[in-house]
Amino acid sequence: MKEITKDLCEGVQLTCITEPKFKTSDIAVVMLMPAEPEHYAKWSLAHSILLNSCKKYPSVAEMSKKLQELYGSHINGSIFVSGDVFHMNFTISAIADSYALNGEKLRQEVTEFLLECLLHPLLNSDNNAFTEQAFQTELQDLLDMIGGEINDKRSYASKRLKEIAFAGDIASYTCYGTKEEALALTPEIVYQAYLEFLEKAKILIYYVGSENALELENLFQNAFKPRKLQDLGFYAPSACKSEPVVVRESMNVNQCQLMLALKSNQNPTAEQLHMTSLMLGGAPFSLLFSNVREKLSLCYYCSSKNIRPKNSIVISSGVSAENLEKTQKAILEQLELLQKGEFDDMLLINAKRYIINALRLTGDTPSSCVAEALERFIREDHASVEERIALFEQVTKEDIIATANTLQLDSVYILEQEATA
Amino acid sequence: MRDSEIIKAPYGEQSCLRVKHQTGLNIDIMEMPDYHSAYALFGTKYGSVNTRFKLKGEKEFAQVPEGIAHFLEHKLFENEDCGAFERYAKTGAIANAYTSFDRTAYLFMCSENFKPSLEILLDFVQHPYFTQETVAKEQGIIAQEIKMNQDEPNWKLFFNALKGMYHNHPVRIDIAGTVESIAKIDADLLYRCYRTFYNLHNMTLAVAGNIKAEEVLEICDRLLIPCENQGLEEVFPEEPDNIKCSEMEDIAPVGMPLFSLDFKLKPKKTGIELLRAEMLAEMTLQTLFGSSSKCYQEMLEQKLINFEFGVDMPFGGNGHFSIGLGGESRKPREVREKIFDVLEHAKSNGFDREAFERLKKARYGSAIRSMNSVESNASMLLDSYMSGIKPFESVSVLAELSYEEALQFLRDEISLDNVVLSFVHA
Repeated sequence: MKEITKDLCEGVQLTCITEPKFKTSDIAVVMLMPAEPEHYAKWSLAHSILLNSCKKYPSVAEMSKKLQELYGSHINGSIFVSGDVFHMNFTISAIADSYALNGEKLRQEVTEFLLECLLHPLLNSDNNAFTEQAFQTELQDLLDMIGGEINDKRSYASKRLKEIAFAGDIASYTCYGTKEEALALTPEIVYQAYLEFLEKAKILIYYVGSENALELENLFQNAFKPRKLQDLGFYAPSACKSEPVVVRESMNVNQCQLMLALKSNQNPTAEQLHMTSLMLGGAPFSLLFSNVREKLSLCYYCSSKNIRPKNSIVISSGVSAENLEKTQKAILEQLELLQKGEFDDMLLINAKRYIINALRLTGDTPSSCVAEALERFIREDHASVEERIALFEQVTKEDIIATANTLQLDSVYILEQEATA
Repeated sequence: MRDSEIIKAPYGEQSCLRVKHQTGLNIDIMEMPDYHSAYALFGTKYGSVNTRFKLKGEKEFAQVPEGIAHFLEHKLFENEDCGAFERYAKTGAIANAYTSFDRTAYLFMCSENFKPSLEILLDFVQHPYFTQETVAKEQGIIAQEIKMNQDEPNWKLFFNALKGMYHNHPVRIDIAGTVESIAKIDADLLYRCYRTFYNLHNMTLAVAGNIKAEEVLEICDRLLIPCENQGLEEVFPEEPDNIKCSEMEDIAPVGMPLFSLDFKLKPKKTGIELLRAEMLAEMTLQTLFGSSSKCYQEMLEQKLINFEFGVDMPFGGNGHFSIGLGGESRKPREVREKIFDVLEHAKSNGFDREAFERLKKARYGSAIRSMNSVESNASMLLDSYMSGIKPFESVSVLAELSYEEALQFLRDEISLDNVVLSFVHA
C-alpha cells in the first residue's frame, strides 16, 4: 500500500492510497466545519439536495440512471458531529477501470460526477437558490426522518441520553436540526448556507484504489478555492454533573431501554478510555456481557461504547420493567470491579488481543483505509497501525483502575412501558 | 481422501477450492493472500422453518417448538468446561453466529491466530453441552431478544407480511419463536435437534482471506468427527398458492408509518431455478420501481414515498418464495394503487428494455465490488452451498438473463391477486 498526501491549496488536501488488491476506485470528500447547531438544518438539507440532484442530472431518476451506466456506482453521504466539529461527507465508488467491459475510464467519470454534484447543483432561474422542488422533496424527507426518530427505540433512547448527559453542550444537538428549524428555511437560505460552508470548510479528499490516479490531482486542483484554516475542536470533554440526573419517559413498548452515561473527570488517554470501555462492556468477554447477560440472565444486550471526544462512556441495555433497578445496580457493580481492580488479568490481556486484532483488519476495505487516514488527521499524528498497537500494549492494570476511578455516573435515561389502565 | 474441484470466477483471477471431505462436510476455501484478515463460517441447513422431521428408521415425524433452531445457536456457545467466547478471547478473533429461516451459521473474523480460531470453531460446534439449568438461563435472555424484536416496527411489518402471505408454512413464524414456545424447550429436545441437523452431511465450512487451503484442510482432517448420513427427511405443511389476507395493519409507537407490499410467488426448487427466478423478480421490480424509474420519481414528487422506499431482496426457500417493496408512507393504499397500475400496464405493454440492460450492467458492478471484501466472499461461499449452486454461478446466470425472460416472468409469475399490504402506524 502506498499513501501520498498533498496540499492542493490552503485548507484543501488530497490523499491517494494505492492498494493493488482492490477492485474498486473509491473517492471521499470530507468537509469539516466548527459545529454551530443553529446551522445544522441548513447544512443537512443542502447535503441531501446535493446527493440527489445536480444541474447535469436534475432528478433522482436521472442521477440513478447515470450511476447505473457507470456499472452501478454509488454516491453516498453522511453528516455527523464529532467533538465540536461538523462533518459533511460525500463518497463515490466505482469498479476499477480494468474491470470495465468497454474500456470506460470509470475513475475519472465518477470523480467528474461527484464534482458536478458538489459544484454545480440544480438551481433556480436566478441562480441564487436550490430549486423549490428539490428543496421541498428533501425537506419532507428530513421532516419524516425527524418524525421517525422514535421508530427505533434503542437509537431514540441513545439520542435522549445524549440530550440529557450533554445538555447545553454541542453534543446534545442532533446533526440535522429540529422540525421547527427546518420549517423556517427556504431554498435560498439553504443554498447560501452551503456556499458559505463550501468556502470555509476544511476539505480532505481521499482516493483508494488499485491504480495510480494521477488525473485526480488535476480534477480537484481547481475545484476548491484556498480557505483560511479554522480551529477544529475534535476533543471537547464535557463536565460531569455533581449529582446524576435520572429521566424516565414512557411509551407503548414491550421492553424498557436503560441508558447510562459515565463521564471521566480527568483526561485519560484515548487508549486508556477505549480499553476501560472494552473491558467493561465492549466485547463478548467483557464484564457486562459475562455477568449481567450471561450470569444474571437479565438482558439480551448490555454493552458500552466510549465517546472519546467527550471523555465519556455510554452503556445501553434492553430489559423488562421488573429488572430495571436490578440491572442498573449490576451494571454499576461491574464498573466497581474495575475501579477496585477486582478483575482477572486475563480480561486486560484479552482486551488487548481484541483491539490488536481489530486494528490489524485496517486496510482490508477501502472505507477502513479512509477511516484510518482521517483518524490520523483528527489525532494530529502520523502513528501507523503498529505504533498505535504499541500504545495499547502499554496500558497497564493500574491505568485501567485509575481510569475507571475517574468515571462517574452522570445521567440515566429510562424508556419504560406505559402503565396499562 | 478428498474429492476436490477448483471453481474459477468468470472474471478476474479469483477462484475457490471446493472439497467434499471424507466426513461428509462440504468445504469451500478462497485464498486471498494480499489481505490481512480471514473470515470463516461453519453452517448447517437448519433454521426456523425446519420444525417437522425424522431420520431414516424413525416412524414418526417429530414436531418441535418454534424458535428451537435459534435457541440451539445460543446454547452451542456454551461447552462443558468453558464458553466459546472465552476461548475466542484468547485468540482475539471477533466471533458471532446467526440463525435465519433456513440456516444457522457460526463465524469468526481475525487478522491473526487464524488456526487456533478455526480449531475453536470446529470444536465447539461439534461438542454440544446442554443442561436444564443452562437452558433455563437462556430462556430469560432470549425472551428479552424476542421483546426487543417486538419493539422493532420493521420486524413487525415483515412478519405481518409473511403471516398475510402464508396460511401454514412455518416461514410465517418468528425466527426466535415466542416467549411461550421457547418455554417448552428443554435439554433433551435440543440434543435431538442437534443430532438431526448438525450432521456434517448437512453442513458446510466456508473460509476466505489470508489463509492457505492446505492449513484449513489439515485442521479439518484432525478435528472433524466422522458421522454417517442419517437420511434426514422433512415435511412442510400443505401451502395454498393464494395469500391468506391482503391487508395486515398494526399499531405501534412510530413517528413515520411504515409499509410493505409483498408478492407471493410460486415456490421454486432450490438451486439454479430459484436463483434465476430471484434475479428476474428483483430486476423486474427494480426496473419498474427503483430509483431510476418514472414511477419512483412521481411518487416522490407526490410525497407518497420518501427516500426510504426501495425494492427488497427476494426471499425464497423450501416451499416459499416472495419479493417485497416498501418504505415509509402516510398513504400506503395509494402507493399500492399506483404500483398496481404500473404493473398492469407493464404486463400488457412491456417495460423499459434499456433500463433492464442498465440494471444488468449495475449488477455486474456489484458482483465485482463484493469481491473486494473477505467477509462478502466467505458469505458468498456459504450462501452458494446453502442455495444449492456453485460459487460465482450467480454472475453466469446474470449474464444470460434477457428482457424477454423478465417480461415473461412478470406476466406469468407476478399476480396482483397475491399481494399483501402490510403497514404499521401509530
